[in-house]
Amino acid sequence: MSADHTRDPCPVVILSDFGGAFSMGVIGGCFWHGIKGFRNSPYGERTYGSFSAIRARAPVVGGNFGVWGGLFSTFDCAVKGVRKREDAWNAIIAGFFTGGSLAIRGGWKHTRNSAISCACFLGIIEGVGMMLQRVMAQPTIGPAFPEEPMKA
Amino acid sequence: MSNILDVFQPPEGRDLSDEECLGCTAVQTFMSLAGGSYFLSSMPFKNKKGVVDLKTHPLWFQRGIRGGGIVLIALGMYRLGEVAQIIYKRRS
Repeated sequence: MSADHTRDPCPVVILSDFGGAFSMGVIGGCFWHGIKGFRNSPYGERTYGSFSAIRARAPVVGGNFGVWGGLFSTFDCAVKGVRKREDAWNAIIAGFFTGGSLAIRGGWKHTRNSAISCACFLGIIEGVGMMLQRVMAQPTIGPAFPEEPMKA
Repeated sequence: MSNILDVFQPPEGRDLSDEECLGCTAVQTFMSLAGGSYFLSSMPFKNKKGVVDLKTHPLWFQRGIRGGGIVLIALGMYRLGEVAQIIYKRRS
């Protein structure tokens, strides 16, 4: 795992990522299942149905997000520790292992497909992120105006 | 400060130092031993009824996963030794 504590203290960041992903899942789950519970309830029971759906399903969504985030962060730290390098490949390799290990109970085909699709998904996100960073980092060049005003 | 946020804003590539890290090694020990034990058990292959379906989980797949479990436990033991070594060095 990473030994550099200036940017990413690796054992701690796993817990932090797990908590962050859990919170994100719970908040998103509240919105998602709140609206779903509201729409699927009869008139007069819609508020109760919405809260009931949130209470039942939002922690489950949070837990799923948390497991993904914690596992991804753990694999990311492990890959950093093995490669001793921090770059875009770490996330892609970690995504491959995360997708594979989460789908292992579904059989070898499910494991393979999930691992490859998760790695591709993370590769796309990394690529888009890098592209956006390059676009934002480019200096803005102003239009060149003539020194003398043009005569009509 | 977050591995997930680093996916959206990838940092520039850099080499990491070889500094000894007790926390990192201890977490890797725990994860390797826990993951290895899980892979070595039959839990990943059983369905809700507790039956192993050989079509979904063929024997070569089960053996591969169990082999991975053995490798993980060996790595965990090796890392455990490193944890002990780091603690010993700090105390002496």
